[in-house]
Amino acid sequence: MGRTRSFVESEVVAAARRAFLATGYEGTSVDDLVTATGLHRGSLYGAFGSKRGLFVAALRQALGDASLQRPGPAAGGCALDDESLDLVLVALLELAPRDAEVRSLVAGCLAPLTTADHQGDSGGSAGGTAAGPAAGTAAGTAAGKGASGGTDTSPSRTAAQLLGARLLTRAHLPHLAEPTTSTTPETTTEEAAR
Amino acid sequence: MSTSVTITDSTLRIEPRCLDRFWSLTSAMEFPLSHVRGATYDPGASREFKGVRNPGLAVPGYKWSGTFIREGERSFWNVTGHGPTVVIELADEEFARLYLSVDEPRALVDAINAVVGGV
Repeated sequence: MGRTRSFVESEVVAAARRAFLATGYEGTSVDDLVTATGLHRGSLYGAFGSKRGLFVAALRQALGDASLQRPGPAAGGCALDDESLDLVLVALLELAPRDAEVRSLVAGCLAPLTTADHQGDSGGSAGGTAAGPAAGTAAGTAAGKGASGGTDTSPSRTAAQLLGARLLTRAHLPHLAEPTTSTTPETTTEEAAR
Repeated sequence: MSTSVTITDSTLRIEPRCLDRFWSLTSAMEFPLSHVRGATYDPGASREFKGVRNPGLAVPGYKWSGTFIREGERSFWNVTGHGPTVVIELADEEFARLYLSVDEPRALVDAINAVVGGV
């Protein structure tokens, strides 16, 4: 078999995470990852199985870091930092539409935060606006968990607002994201992003 | 392209086409899906050192067909040019990974990763 591992996996994943943040999933070639991590191609494949495997590891690392920092539902928000949110956006845009595991990971992150401060806040119609497939899934999960058992879509707005605000800020349009800082605005930011 | 890849319920079947069967000394290979760790579209793979050919064909810069050994790892190559190369990582098999030129690399990668799931 090949050589024994002589690298710190978390450092390799962190380096790959930075590469994915800079150029997206499809835009980051294996050559880019070899350069970013300093590992041989064979070592990368041996450790993570595929580029997708490395991205999933990076996403798990970002979400794991976030879950450690998350203050809990009572604090009314998610502790996903900007970098983690950016990786979630990359995952939503590029992989979630065709990858069930990535979709599930992102949904697992968004579901708790969407139930944080909007539980019981009814309004809107079922299957309303959502930032993406994962946000929709998260909303569905949250609605399923809801004590009211109704068709509460406000959690999906919360996820959409968080992601939309980050998307706009990343696009150097923070002023368009301003309304998301107030409570439950009528116009969702993901609509403004379109 | 030079390789046909078929996904069945439980296996991944690799068939070099035409003369590539001769060059690679391989008519077909089949691997259980449980031994497939993932697939990657990797056009840059064919530019790297491939290892020692044993046995097979190597036309530098153009074609690599057969078994190559690098740092103790055996890989199967059936790649022509620097185009649509797919890398398939295996576990508990004779080959650590396969490098293949295929017709629709992105579709194949998605199809393989969809059935083998996580790493």
